[in-house]
Amino acid sequence: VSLPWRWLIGGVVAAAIGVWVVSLWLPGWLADDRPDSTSNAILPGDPVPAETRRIHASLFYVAASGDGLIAVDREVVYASAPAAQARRIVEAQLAQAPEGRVSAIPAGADVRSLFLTSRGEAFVDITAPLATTHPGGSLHEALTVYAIVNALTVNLPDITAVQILIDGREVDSLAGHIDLRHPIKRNPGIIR
Amino acid sequence: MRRPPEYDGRLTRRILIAALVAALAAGTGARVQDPVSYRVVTTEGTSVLQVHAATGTSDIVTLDAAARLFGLLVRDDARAGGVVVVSGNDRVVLTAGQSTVSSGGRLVSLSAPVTRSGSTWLVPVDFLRALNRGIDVRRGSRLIVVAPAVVPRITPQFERTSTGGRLIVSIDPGATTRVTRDGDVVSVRFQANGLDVEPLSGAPSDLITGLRSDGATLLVDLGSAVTNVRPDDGRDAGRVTIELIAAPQTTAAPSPAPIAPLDRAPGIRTIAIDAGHGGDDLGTRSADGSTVEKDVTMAVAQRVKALLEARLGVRVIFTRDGDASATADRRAALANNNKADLFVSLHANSSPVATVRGAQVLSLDATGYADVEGAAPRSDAPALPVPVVGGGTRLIDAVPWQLAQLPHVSASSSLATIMAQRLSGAGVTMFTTPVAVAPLRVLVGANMPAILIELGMLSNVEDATALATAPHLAILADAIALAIADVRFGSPPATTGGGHP
Repeated sequence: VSLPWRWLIGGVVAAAIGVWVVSLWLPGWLADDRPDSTSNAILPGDPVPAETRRIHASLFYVAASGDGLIAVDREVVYASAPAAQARRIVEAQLAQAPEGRVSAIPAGADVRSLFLTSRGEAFVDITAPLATTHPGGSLHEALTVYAIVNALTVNLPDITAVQILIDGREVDSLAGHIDLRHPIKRNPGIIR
Repeated sequence: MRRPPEYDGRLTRRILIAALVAALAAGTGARVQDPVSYRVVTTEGTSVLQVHAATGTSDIVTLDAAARLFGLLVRDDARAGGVVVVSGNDRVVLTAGQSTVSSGGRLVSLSAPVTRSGSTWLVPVDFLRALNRGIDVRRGSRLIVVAPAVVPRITPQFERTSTGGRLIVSIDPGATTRVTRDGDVVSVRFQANGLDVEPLSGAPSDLITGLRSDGATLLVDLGSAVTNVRPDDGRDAGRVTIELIAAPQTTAAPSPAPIAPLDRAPGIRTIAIDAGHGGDDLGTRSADGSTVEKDVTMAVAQRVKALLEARLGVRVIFTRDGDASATADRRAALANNNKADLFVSLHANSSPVATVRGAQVLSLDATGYADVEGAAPRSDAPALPVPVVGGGTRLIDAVPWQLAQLPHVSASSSLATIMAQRLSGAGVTMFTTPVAVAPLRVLVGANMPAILIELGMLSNVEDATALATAPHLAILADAIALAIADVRFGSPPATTGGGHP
C-alpha cells in the first residue's frame, strides 16, 4: 500500500471515530454527568425495555362532581428502577383517560424526562402542550397539577414532592395560578 | 385545592370580621373615630354634624341638620314622592327608597338609600358630595372638609435611630410647616384650616409621650429622655422629619434590636385590584369563545374601583394598565410599593366538567412553602441597614419577596370567608367549596391580606352567560365592594338580601 493510500485510510478511520464520538459517546457521557441522573433517570432516546410485567397504580381523574379528583386503579408497565417506574406512572397519567373518566390533563402532553433526587423530590419534565393548551382557571389547573403530583406521591411513597418542568425549564405556573416554582407535596384534600 | 378548616360554620361572620380587623389594626394601627358626629371644617371655622344612625357602609344624617349647616333650601316634591334640595344654583332631587340622586342633571350614587321617617328625611352623609360645592366627606375620620378649606391627612411614624429616634410626619396634601419647641412640647404649625391626624404607634414613652392636634397645629409631647430636637429644613411640603436626640443612658439601656416601621398608614386606605390575565394572556374562555376571562376581570375591576372610590373614599390601584399583560411579581410589586392594605385578584374559573358552576374565593395555602428557603422565621435574622434621605441609615426587617404573603395568611383566610359570604348573600351561585386555599402564584408575593376571587365558571353555560351580562357583573362588583366595606368599618354583612347600597 502506497503512502497516499495509508493517509486516506487513516483519514477515513479518524473521521469514523469522530462521528462516533460526537453522535453516540458524547451525548451519553454528558447525560451521565448530570446530577442525580446516574441511576435514577430515563432520558429522551434511552431504550425502554419491553417489560411485560405490570403493576397496579392509582391514577387520578376528574370526579363527577367536578370539584376534585378520584383515584382509579389501573395497570401500569413495571420498571425495576424507581425513576423508570415513576416515568411509567406519569406516562399512564398523561395518556387518554379510560372510558367513562375525564382527564384533567390536556391532550398532547408527553413526558420528556424524569429525575429523582436523594431528598425524595421528583422533577418531571413535560412537553409544552401541558401549558400551552391548558384551558386555564385555577380549579382546572389545580386538578391538572395534583393529578400528576398525587399519581407519583401516592404510588411511590419515597417520592414526597414533585416539581413540574415544561420543556426542560422551571415555570411559574401552567396557566397563571398554581405556583410551580417549588416541588409540590401530595394533596389528599383534593381526592374525593 | 384545599378546603380551609375555618369554613365549617363554627366561626361567625362577626368573629371573622373582628379577627380580620384586628389583624389589620395590628399591622396598621387603628384610626380613632367619633361614632356620633362629623367635624365640619370650613375656612370660617369648625362645626359639628350629628350622625342619626350608622350602618356598616354608611352614616345617616337628617336632611334638616345638613340643611342648617350648609345653608340648603329644602322643598317637598309631592308629585315625585321626594324632596328637592337647592344649593346655590344647583338642585338635587332626592327620592325615598332610592340610593341615587339627581344633581344638576347627573346621577350620583349614594352609599345607602334616602329614607323618610315621619316628616324627617334621612340621607347618607355622602349625599353632601352631590352638592357640587367641593365637600370632601372622610368617613374614616368622621371629617367633612368644605373647599376652599384645607385639612391635610397627617400620618406620623416613629423609627429608632442610633441617637434616639425620628418622628416622620407625612402630609397629604402637602402644606407649608413651621416647627418650634417650647419646653417639652414640639409644635408643628401647618398652613391649613385643620388637621386629620392618624394615631402614632410604636413610639417609646421616653421619647414621645403623646401626639395631639390643636386646630392646624400638631403638638408632640416629648419624653424625659429627649435632650435635643432637630427638625428638617421644611422644604418638603409632603413630609416633616424631627430628630429626637436622647440622653446617652437611654440609648445604652438594653432594648430589642431597632426595627424600623414597615407599618402602612392606619386604616384601610388603599386597595389593589388585580384584574387577572390581560394582553396576550386571555385566560380561560367560554365554550363558544365569546366570553374571555381577561375582559370579565377588567370589567368587574373597573366597577369595583368606581364603587370603592365613590362610597368608601379609598384609593384603588390596578395591577395592570388596560389590556396589558403583567407578571405575577409585577402585580404583587405594584400592590406592595403602593402600600395597599388589601389585594383582591379577580379571575374566572374553568372545570373539565361543564355542569360545574359557581364562584369561589381562595387564599394562599402556605403549607407548601414550609420547606422553601427563608420560610422559617428566624429570631436571629439580622436587620438590613438601608440609606435614608438626609443621610444615615435605618434598619429594616427583610421580607423574602416570594414569601411576603406568609404573615398574612390568617387575615387573608378571614377576608376570603367574608367575601364568599357577601357573594353568596348577593345571590351569586357559589362553587361547592365556596372558600378554599391553594398555592396561588399571584398571592404569594403580596405583603398584605390577599385573596383571589373566581367570579364563576366560564366552562359552564349558565355562568358564562351571566358573566357576559352587565347586571350580573354589577352584582358581583357590589358584593365585592360590600365585603371590603365590612372589613373597612368592622361591621358584619347585612343579614338579609346582601344589601346593595
